Amino acid sequence: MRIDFERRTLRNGLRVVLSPDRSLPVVAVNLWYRVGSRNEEPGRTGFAHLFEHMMFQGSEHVPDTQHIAHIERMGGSMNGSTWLDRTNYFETVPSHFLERVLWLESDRMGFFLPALTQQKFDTQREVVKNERRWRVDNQPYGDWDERLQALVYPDDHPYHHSVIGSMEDLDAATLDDVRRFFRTHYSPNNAVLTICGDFETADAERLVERYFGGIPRGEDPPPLPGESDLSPTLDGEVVEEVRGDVALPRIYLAYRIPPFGTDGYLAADLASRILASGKASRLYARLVRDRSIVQDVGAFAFPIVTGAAMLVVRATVSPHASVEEVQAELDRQMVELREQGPTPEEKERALSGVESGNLLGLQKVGTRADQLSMYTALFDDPDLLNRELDSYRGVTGEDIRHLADGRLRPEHRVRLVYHTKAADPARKEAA
Amino acid sequence: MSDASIDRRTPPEPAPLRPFDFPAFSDHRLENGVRLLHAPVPALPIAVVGVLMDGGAAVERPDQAGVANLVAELLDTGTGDLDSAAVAERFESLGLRFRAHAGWDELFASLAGPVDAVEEGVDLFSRLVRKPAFPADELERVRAEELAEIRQRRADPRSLGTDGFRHFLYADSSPFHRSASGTERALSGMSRGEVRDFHRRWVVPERTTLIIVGDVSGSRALRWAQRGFGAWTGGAPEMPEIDSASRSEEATVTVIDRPGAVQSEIRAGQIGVPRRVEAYIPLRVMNTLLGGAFSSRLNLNLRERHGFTYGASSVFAFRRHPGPFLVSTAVQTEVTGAALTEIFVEVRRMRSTVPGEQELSDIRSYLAGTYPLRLQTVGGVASRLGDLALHDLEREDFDRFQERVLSVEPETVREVADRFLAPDRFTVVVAGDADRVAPQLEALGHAPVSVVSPDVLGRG
Repeated sequence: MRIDFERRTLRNGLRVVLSPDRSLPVVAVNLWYRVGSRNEEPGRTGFAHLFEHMMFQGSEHVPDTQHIAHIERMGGSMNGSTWLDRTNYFETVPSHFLERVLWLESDRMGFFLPALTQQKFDTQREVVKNERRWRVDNQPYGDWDERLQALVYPDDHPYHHSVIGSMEDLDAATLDDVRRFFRTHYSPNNAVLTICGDFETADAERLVERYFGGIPRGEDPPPLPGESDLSPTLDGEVVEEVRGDVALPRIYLAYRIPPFGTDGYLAADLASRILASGKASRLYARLVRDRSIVQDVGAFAFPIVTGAAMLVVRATVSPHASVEEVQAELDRQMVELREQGPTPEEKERALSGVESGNLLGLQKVGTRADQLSMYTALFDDPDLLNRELDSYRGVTGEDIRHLADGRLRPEHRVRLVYHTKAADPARKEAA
Repeated sequence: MSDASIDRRTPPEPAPLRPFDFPAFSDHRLENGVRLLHAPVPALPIAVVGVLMDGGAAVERPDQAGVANLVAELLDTGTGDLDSAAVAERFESLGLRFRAHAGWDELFASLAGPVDAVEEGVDLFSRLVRKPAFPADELERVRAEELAEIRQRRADPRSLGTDGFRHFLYADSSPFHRSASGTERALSGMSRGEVRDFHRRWVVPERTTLIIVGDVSGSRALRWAQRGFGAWTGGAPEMPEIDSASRSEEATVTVIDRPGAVQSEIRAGQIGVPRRVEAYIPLRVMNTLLGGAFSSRLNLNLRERHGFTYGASSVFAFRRHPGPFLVSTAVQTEVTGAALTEIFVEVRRMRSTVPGEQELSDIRSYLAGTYPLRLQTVGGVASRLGDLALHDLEREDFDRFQERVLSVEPETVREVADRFLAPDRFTVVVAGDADRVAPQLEALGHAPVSVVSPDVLGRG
């Protein structure tokens, strides 16, 4: 499958990708701003995400919560999300409302500051603190990513802290921080706008120029805080054992891998699929089906670009098994992958999974738009979406073995273990 | 600059509406009684084949609670001389996704992927559905996983809220009192014979609908159906009576104690109505206004005005038999009582006051306009066709959905709220720190507060 598109850059630096598809009367508008938790200053963890909430609190011509009200009364869906490298904003609406969506998005890119009030900020701070309680503090294993990031990345690395941030830092944030953050990061030259779905390219070009063309270019954003460069692997195993409100113990293994956008990342991603994607995968077959010692198992690579990405393996220990025997079997499987690499059949299954995952995922114009924005924002090349599968096909079994051998070793990993509150971690738990 | 020429104060007018039609679909019966619903959607070279089997967790006997879920979980663990590893390798080498689940009303299995791969996989898929092997060792594994899953749900605040609400809402005599995936007691004692028997009784041609959506012509769809399901035989069982009695005629307030919890998971509501209720469309509109969208009253109140929560919503579980109507939210512990007060304010206001024309118009447009968004995928279209089969709907229910939503009057919204919501008798369940939450709930005066341990839900 090929996604056709046209791209251009406005005079103010806004990069625009247009990808028409007239099959349904719906259109997706997607904006990536190249700012995420990695851009946060010390003492302001969680701020990029808190700021994202403020983008739904009105702009000069769209007061209060009217942005969302406008989208919903069009019959559209919308949201935003903040991650390590980026913040995105997106909506899918009936296509005859395209112009109104561009009006809304351009108003918050160009006219955000006049609508800001202390009261709205204070309320959203409470909302975000409740989001943290809901996702992290009141959820079994809820702080796993926060703990892994802190252990995998050094103190001064931009990925050392979590996207949601700490309660203390959320409390410390001020309205001045909001203004400064907006001026620094939310300029057209730091954003990508993608439109995908039911429209004529010439109409969209005219509308984009009309609503976004007059927004002034901002200064280039400053370099990332801290030190992005880091050694490709951890030097020595790091172990953290926690006792929590969990019913079953769980093991996380985390490794530094090459950043998203490199061939090494693709090899690591395929390794994660061979390990634990689907019921034919190694860890599922050995730990779940054959030995029945884990409740569930997973492995995934984070598509992040700053210095090093991260590969995580996760296994929840069955009530009748022990952490030690699960760990030993995980170790055996990792050694086998390192020493022998994948079989040709395993590699083909992983590639089939990538291919059909793309086909099924790209049915929605919103997903397509987000992927085009991603490749444009991170690598300035939306066509990488069309070449993705070929890039995966270029990875050899030996590349995967080599990646595993260099990166997925015990001495390079973080091992995070959640133990149940009642049991002694050294003892096997009763069934 | 171009910007100077535009007036930003007024929202731009929409272009002319491009009307949307639900995809055309055909409706056949094979000779053995299997119904075939087929919608050609040629946008991408993909397809989904779904099998909807009428008879889910609601038809289980109490001593076999969870058997439908075991059947669903075990379907892909083998057939004939293929074991579970061989099945997984076959599907995954073709890039196919197999899924199966048991709902209250149905078993549903599906196969999705590139259309030519689906063609190659559909025979195996049909054998798994019709003639699963249910290997003894796989049953033991899945049983252990289901029992461990129950244990995990008892440590998870969101599940405690949802499971607890159901537990304290329905009478012990109703299947809806427990989880659709079963109880510890029944799962522990379930034999392989019982699993096989449930499958033999309920997975039969006359109660099965085959749903094929994607880049597939009518003749190809019919060929897949005939090849996979055409020669299949078996008679249909009688539908048992389903009990959906409530546990109490009175309001109740129950705290499921989680000492030290920083947040309270709140569930408040009542037994609702079946999908085939005549006021279905007005109820959808009313619920969307109350708690079915971001701009709904509950969310604007609890989140945007008070900052109590990350989100608040309400939903009717529309099933064959009356499912719950419930309001759900998670709030920081110290505002648990205040949040419930606001929930009751909003539910009561919905019953007492006719909504404003603009507010209602916005919500109607939301519900009508988002309808096509859920039909962008072959899976989305297949879900609607599943609803059609399960609830005996007509094509017209899809074709006229938007128009019917847009014509709901303000007084009708108030009237259905008044008729179908009884907040004075709401069942309230809060999973949270009882020491700090119970006094706040006592002060509400809704009902005496009982405090229980999560173990109360243990046996389901």
